[in-house]
Amino acid sequence: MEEKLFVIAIGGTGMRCLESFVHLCAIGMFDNKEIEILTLDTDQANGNMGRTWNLINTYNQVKSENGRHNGGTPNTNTFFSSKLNIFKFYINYSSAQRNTYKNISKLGEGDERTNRHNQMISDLFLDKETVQEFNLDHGYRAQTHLGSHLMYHGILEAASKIKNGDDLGKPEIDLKEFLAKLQSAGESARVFVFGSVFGGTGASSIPIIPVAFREAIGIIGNDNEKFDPKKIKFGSTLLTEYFSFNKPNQNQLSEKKNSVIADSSFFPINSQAALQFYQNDPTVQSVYNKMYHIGWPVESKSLLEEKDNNTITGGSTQKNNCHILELMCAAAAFEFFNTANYEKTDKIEYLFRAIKYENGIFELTSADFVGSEKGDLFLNKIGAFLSFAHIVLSKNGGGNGSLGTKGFITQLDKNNIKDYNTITDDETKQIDEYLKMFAYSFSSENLFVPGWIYQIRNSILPGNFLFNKDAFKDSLKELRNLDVGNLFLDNKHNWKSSLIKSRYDTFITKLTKEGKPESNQNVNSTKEKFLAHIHNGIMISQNFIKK
Amino acid sequence: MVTLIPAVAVALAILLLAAIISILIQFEGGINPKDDNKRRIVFWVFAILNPIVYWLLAYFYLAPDPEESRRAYNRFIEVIPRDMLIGVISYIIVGIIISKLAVTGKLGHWFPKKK
Repeated sequence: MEEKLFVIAIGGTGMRCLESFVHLCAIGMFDNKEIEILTLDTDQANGNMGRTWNLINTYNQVKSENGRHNGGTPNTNTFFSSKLNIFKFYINYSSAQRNTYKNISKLGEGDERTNRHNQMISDLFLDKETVQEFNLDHGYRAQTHLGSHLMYHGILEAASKIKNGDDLGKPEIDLKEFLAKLQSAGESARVFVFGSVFGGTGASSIPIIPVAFREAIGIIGNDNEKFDPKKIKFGSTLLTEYFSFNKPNQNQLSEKKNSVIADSSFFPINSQAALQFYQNDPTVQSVYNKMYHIGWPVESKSLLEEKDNNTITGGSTQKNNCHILELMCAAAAFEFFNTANYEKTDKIEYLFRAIKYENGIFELTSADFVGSEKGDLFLNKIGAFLSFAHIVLSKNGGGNGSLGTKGFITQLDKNNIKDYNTITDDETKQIDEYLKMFAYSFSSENLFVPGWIYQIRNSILPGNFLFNKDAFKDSLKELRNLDVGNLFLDNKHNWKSSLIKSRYDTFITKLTKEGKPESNQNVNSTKEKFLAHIHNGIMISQNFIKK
Repeated sequence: MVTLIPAVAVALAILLLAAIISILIQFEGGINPKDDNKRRIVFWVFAILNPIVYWLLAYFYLAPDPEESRRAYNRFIEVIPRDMLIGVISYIIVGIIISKLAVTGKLGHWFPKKK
């Protein structure tokens, strides 16, 4: 039975984990897979979510033939080898009737007796002055007891709307389609959930998602027997605190809508409480198979340069930098999806891996992410994609608005490989855009803007991240002169050079003579063939294949 | 016929030299690579050098001693232009063949495919 893969990303941290996951798809770690992705949030303007949507959209543009937005097809042993289908569901708390717990629960409405009972029950669980009245449109603000309740009912409310067919918006339509795919996959589904356990939306949702989906499918189809989370393989991250941000100041807290603001100094306690919950909760124990415990053993740093003293609670300004732990979460999804077929048992499995930390420095190897068996595969693929990014952005100037991928196609044309001349300028720009998000770009003021891999590397400085320091140059002059074939720490994987032959020369020779896409790579569109060609040329040059 | 063999041999030797230099020119990449032009220039510079080299070789080294046989010397000098032409033609024809055989390699830049 072919397994169907599903990813659910929840909240700001979940989105950044998804960002890392998408980059793993781009480097080719999920060969020949079609993956259904659901993003789930309450903060529809969240900067992290917008950035992730944009990333997936660009990924799909790169894979689509010009003018068609079908996201291409799954391929084998190439870049962008998985097909990603994105579904976006968010619970809308933006209107005045739905922007606080008090309003959404209609406290204060109805007859006096009902009203009094509702208020008493609410007061029992939720602080009246703060938790019941803060503005929900920036998420649940680390109030997981409120968040779980509202997220569960938000999903069921959407399911009721779908059932009744009344005035469905895009979020409900996307949820309906995602649930239909999940239901149709049945026991062949593997579902991985990204989110933190210490924050708001993700922490609130991870425990209730499987059950909420079962109930929602039941409401939509009047038959919840068709989807039993206990028979489906669910995995998730148990991601504890790893970043901090400014403490909320009194001015901010004095506003009613901001009466609750997450305080990162409580994140360690939140994490501890959450872990106890996950250890003991029978629902979690019965639906999740594998939980990947991922934490940060040293002092947390801010992921954001906060320009004033206010805490950013959410919205479009919340665009935190990526962190190595989010890549660890994506690697956990890789492990979950690639574990050989196994029977689901009643017992949950907690997984973790220790990494080397000495003298205040992390020494990460590729095996730390994906295990020793797949370590070389990961290093080979991420190294190839980083080289590709540097060819396009540094050597061909794409990072600074110059030719980029177009220059590379011109070079192949000069070498009488004319198969890719039909790729349009717009299409080459899409590849450039993706690579900018992966590696780096320069702003219109010529300021360096780190992309995903630079941000990941910065999060473990002064430790090493798989490549030598030259791979992460950040000045225009140095990048222009970068030796794109000399990025690995282990010199045997750097492209060969000699007195009369540069590394780049070796690469182009191999690219033109040996790199042509093969039929078993299943590449169809011209762009997919082009990407496979580049992939093959770099892979041969990196000298991993013969091992 | 006797003079043709050295003419063609010189052409091939010079072509070999042009090929070696063309291969030594590195692929440049970047936004404005000029390596393909450099290889073409090398090919045509050596195409021009070819008859000159052959003429110098023929005149100063291969030509018979006029004091021994003025007739043989005059006949040799007479055919040098023809041999030079044949040398150049051989150089270009073999150059085109090599370029087409190594179409995606550096020597393919001597005679690139039309779009």
